[in-house]
Amino acid sequence: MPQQNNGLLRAFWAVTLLALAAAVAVLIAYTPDEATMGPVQKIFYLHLPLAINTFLACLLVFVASIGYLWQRSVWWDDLAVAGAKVAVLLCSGVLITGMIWGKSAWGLWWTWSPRLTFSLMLWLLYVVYLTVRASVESGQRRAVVGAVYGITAFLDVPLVWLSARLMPDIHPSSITLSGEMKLTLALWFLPVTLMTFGLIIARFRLNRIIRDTTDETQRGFEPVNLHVSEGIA
Amino acid sequence: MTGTQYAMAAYIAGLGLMLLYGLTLWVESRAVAHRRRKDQSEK
Repeated sequence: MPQQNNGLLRAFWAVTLLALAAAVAVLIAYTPDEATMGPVQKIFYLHLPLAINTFLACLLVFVASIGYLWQRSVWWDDLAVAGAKVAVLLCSGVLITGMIWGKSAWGLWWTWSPRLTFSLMLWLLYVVYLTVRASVESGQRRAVVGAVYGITAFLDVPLVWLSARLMPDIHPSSITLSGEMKLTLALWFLPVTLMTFGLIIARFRLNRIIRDTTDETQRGFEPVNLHVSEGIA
Repeated sequence: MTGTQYAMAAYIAGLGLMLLYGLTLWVESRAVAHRRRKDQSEK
């Protein structure tokens, strides 16, 4: 069974890398330069999929946090942590690609516009999520604090999404694309989404293995029965 | 820097981050598997 899983994983990563190679080839050989911004606009085909996948990873943390509070199963807690780690990674990618684009298009690495500020806040919220978890010793308390925080932190996602639409912002809320550009964007969503999914699954599996191999009491998870009887007493 | 160079820098940074994290996970999973095998052989 594990060998079968390894074969599936290898096939998954091979498809992902092939999709990535195809997307790069299309970007270089097929996609036209945008009329006003020129070749730097091509950053958009990575920037937007990274941003949407950041939101999906944050949504996963939100759902897994609710799942943990509902069922009190560490399975949900491990899933939330995997989602948060990948959310931080993707959000870092969004901020870096956006800064490079901003430097070329606006002549600025950074400006405190609503969209940029809420995006930086989102990155900080999930960095703090991981930091707070690391600072709580008790495993059960860590999971509960993480779940409550994971639900609250998700409130920033709609703010990032709506900020450029509802407030005056240097960041555009939408870009007009030609047919070739739309196709390129659709093609770039595939490898970025597959990579996001693959990284979350890989991180989650690793979290499960580490939890299985570590003594639960060392990690601060007291046996459930003991905890319940203490609560009754 | 030209627009093409900015675009290349963004792609290298964005994709590089994801690939580096993937590599880190792969190395970590091998280390964990090695530790598990070692623990089992000691038992």
